[in-house]
Amino acid sequence: MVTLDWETDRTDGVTLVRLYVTAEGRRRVRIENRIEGPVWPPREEGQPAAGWDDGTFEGVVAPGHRLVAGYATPEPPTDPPAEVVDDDPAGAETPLGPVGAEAVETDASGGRATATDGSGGTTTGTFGRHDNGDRAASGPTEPLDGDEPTPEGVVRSLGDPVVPREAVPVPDVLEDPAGQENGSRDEPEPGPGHDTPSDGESSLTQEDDSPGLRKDDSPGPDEDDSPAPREDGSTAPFSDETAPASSETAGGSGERSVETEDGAPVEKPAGDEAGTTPNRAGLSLEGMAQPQTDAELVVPGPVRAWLRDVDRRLAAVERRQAAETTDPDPTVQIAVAGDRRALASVADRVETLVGRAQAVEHGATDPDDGGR
Amino acid sequence: MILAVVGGKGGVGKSTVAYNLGAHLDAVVVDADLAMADLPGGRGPDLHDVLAGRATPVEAVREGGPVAMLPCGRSLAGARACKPTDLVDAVETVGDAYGRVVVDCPAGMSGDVGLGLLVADACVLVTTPTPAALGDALRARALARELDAGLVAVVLNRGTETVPTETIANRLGAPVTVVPEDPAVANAQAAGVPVATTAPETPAAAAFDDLADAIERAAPSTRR
Repeated sequence: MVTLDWETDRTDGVTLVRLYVTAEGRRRVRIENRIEGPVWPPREEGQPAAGWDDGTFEGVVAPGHRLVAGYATPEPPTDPPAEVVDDDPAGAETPLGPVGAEAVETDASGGRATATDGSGGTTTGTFGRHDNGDRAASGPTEPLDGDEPTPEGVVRSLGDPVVPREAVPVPDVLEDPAGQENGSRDEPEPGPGHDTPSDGESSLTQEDDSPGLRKDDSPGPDEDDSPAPREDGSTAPFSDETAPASSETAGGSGERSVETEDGAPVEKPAGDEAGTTPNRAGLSLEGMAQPQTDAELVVPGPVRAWLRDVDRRLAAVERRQAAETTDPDPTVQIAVAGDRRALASVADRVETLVGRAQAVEHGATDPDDGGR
Repeated sequence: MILAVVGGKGGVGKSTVAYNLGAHLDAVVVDADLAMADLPGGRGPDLHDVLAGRATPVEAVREGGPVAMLPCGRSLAGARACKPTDLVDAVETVGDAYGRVVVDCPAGMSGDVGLGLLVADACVLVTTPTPAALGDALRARALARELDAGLVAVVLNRGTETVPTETIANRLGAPVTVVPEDPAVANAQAAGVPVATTAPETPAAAAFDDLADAIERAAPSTRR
C-alpha cells in the first residue's frame, strides 16, 4: 500500500508542489504530474535531479521512511497535483530515494559522507546524520525516526567558526575589543570593602553594599533597558552607563562625593584607591591587585576584574544570607554556581602553571640545580 | 518560525536585512556571527556568554530597542571561549520563548553559517547584483538545501531596475525582492533603528515590508 500526500503553494506565478510518499513495504513507485502544463523538476547543475524524467518521478520508499519530491509548474494547482502511476515491490538491495541517485556511505568517522559513485551528485555530506550503517539515500528520503543533521556534524563538515584559541592574545590591554566586559568591569567602584580593610572601610563597605546588592538583585530590565541582572551583566551594565544616573546617586552617592571631595584619589592610601577611582581602570586595578599579589607582580586586568566581580557577587550573597531579610535571588545563585565552576577550572590551570613557573624560576636562579 | 539570513559573501547587507526583517516580523534577531558581530550590541550578557554557559539564551535577549536582539559579543576572548554547537539549542530556546527568530548568519561557509541554517525552518538569501556575491549566493543556497532550510526569498540588495531579477530567481529558485540602494537604509542601520521607523515612505522600507509579507505567507509551509 502506497500513500501519496501533497502540498501545493502558489507564489509569484509559480506553483510549487511537494509530494510525500509512504509505503507499508519496500516499493518502487512512479509518480506523474497531473497539472496541465510544464513540469519544472529540481535541477542540479542544470540537470534534472535524480529520479526525474520528463514530468515523472521515480523512487524507492520503505516503511519508516518517506520519499519526498518537489517540482514547480507555472500553471495553477489541481487536486490531486500528481498521482502514483506505478507501484512495484523493490528488493532490499535497491537503495532508497530517487532512482538513479548516487548512494552515499558514511566514512569511518560517521560524520561526513562522501559520494561513492556517479556524477551530478545531490549531496556532499550528511552533516552527522546517523545512517545506521545503512546505505543512506542521498536524495530526498526522509527517515521518519528523527535522524537529522546534528550541530556537531555541521561543525565537523564546515569547520569550527570560533577563533582559534592560540591565535588570540590574552587581552591585557584595557581598551581591547572586550572593553564592554573589561572596561566596564573596571569602571564600577571595585568592591573594595572586602579586599581592602582600610580606614575608609565603613563608608566604603556601605557604598559597596548598596550598589552591590542592587546590582545583584535588581532585575535589570525593570529598571532600565539593560537586561543584565547577573554575571558579566551584574556589574558591567549597571555601573557603566545605565547605572550612574540611578545607582550612583542612590546607593553610591556617598562614594562619589567622597571621592570628589577628597579630590584626587591619589591622596588616599593605596588600599583606598581601589574604592575611589572608578573611572581609571588601571588605577583601580592596581588597587585591586595589591591585596592579592606582590606589588611587582602584574596580573592581567581582565583576570583581576573577573575575580573582583566574583568577589563582589559572593559578598552580596553572603550579606543577604546573613541578613536573612530577603529570599535568595535565584539569578545570583545561578551566577554563583557558574562562578564556582569557572573558578574550579581556572584553579587547576593555575596550579599547573604555577608549578611550571616555579620550576622555570628555580632553573633560572639556580642553574646548577638542573632546573628543578 | 526560525528564519536564517544567509548570503555567503560579506558586505551584501545580511545584517541590515536581518535587522529590518526582525522589525517587520516582530522577531528576535540573533546575531550568529560568532567571530565578528556587527549588529548593535549594548550592555549585558550576549551570545558569547550564552554559548560559554554563563547566561541563558532568554536573559541575553535585549528587548529595550526597536527590535529585540540577542547580540553577539565583540571580544575575541569571548569568541574563543564559546561552544558553537550550543548555538542550535540557544536559538531554539529563544524561538520557544518568543515565537519568531531571525538568525543573522555570518559571511562565508563555515560552521556558524551551517548551524544557523540547521536550526532554521527557512532561510532568506541576501545578495547584491555582482558576480562574486551571486556566486557565493549559489553556494549558500546549496548549503541551505543540504540542511533543510527552505529558501523562501532572495533579497537583491542595492539592486537597480536593470538587474535581471528573473534570471536570478530562476537560478536560485525563489522569488526575488529588490531592495534599492538607499542611504536611508544605511543611516537607519547606523542609528540602530529599522528603516521603516526613520524613513517609512522610502522604496527600501516598502521592499522590506513586501519581503516580510512573503515570508509570512511562506512560513507556515516551511516547518520541518
